[in-house]
Amino acid sequence: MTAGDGGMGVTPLDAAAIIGYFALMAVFGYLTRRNRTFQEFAVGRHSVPTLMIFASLAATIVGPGFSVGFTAKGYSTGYLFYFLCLPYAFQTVASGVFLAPRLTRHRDCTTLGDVMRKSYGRFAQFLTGLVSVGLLMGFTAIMGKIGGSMLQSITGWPLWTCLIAVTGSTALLTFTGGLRATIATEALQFSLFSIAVPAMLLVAAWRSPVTLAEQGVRAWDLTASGFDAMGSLALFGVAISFLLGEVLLPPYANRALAAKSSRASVSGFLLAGAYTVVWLGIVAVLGVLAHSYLPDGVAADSVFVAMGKALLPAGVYGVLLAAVIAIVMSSQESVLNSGAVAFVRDVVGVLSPPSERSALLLAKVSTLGVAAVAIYAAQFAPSIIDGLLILYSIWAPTMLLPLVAALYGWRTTPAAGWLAMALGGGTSLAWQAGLGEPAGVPAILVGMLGSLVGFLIGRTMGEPFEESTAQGASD
Amino acid sequence: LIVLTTIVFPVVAIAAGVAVIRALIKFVIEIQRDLRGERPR
Repeated sequence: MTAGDGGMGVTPLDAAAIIGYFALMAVFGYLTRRNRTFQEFAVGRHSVPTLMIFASLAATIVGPGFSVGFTAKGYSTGYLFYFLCLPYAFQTVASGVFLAPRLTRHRDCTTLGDVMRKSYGRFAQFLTGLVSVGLLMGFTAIMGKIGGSMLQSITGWPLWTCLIAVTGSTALLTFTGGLRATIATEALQFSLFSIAVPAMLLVAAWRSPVTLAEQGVRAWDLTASGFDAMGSLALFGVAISFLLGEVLLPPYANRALAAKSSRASVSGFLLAGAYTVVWLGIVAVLGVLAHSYLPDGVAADSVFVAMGKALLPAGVYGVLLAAVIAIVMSSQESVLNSGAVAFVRDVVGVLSPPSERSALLLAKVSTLGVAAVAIYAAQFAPSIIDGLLILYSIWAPTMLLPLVAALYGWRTTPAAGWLAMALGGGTSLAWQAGLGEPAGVPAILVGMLGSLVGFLIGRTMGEPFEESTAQGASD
Repeated sequence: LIVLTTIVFPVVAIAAGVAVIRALIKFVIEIQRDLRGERPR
């Protein structure tokens, strides 16, 4: 969605629906706000039930890329990206089965950095904090740019104002409430888009001027031409990025830590994985059906909203726009909350541990700080898919291997942790930004190899870390 | 696949959205109770 692409034809009824959405969010913020401790702010006192874990995970997963972006892909390449993205759903299920329950058992931890510290010491926790905060700022910026551009198309306000309005209002909700409030508002946003967008697809199918069988033929034609246009290595690179890029990203890990039991955590992840399969199919096929409703040559990124305009009556179209805003905000809330928590716990906490009261205050201030930096960075953010793929190629090579080793209790040393992180992230960045991915080999794979080499070398250096004997390892 | 993604998936997603609304109401009531100190901390 580019800024100023002709406006979205918003009527007063639509505007009322959007204002109603923001009013509902404000009421929710009021009902669920207040935190007495940093623990409450960070992990909601480990008390969140299964369906809320599921809705919150799903709302975080379904961002602008997996909605507006995916419909654009469906419009131009049919089911191709749906198939390429199925590994993402598999990853969510696998995380639920193999990693989340082990994470939930760390009841004394509030962040991934805490878990890393137990196996590798405080320097690894600090590095985890730096990587987490940096990446989460990047995610916030990319999502804020999409939401801001969309708001600009609706209102015609300057982009700066729109960036501040979208990310700023999300930050205010997150700032006041902490994780439980974030999860509650995300569940509401989940319900809104889970009803509005599929209902729009059903209307599109019902009113379609051609039969469903003909739509099916068109979908496969688009899929085949999209497949032919991409090289096999490029297809593999995209699929592997979706498979590994977001494994236990801090917002997901925080939900595993916040679950009231291991069982709630596992069920939440499994349901979210299944929902991803369902949701991505919906938004992809919405793009296919758009060929029956929209004129040729419409910008792919505009298809999602243009379908709403073409199909829905005034007022209901406003509900769809509110759902799109909800999609952006629900993902932003999660990354803002976990970014602030990681900053307080893993960066500041390692340098100079604050008191419980100061930590809570600092977490709230950090939420606003992360949002402010993200608003500024949004102007430099690349297109959504490019931006996400860059961030994916940093997270998995840096964190995945040492984190899995920590969760499974493999023999580790402090050096194994920080060497795996440094070599994994460094190799991936150098391969991608420095060398431009020679021969089309995905940076995420090269980075994972670098991480493995760093981990194995580090294991030969020094003795396994024991937190109980380490200096300053209180908590 | 076209029937699955166009008809079945939307119905499943709408059902999930409705189920979450019911669970959300319970969750918010619980948070409210908690904030009023009605549950053991």
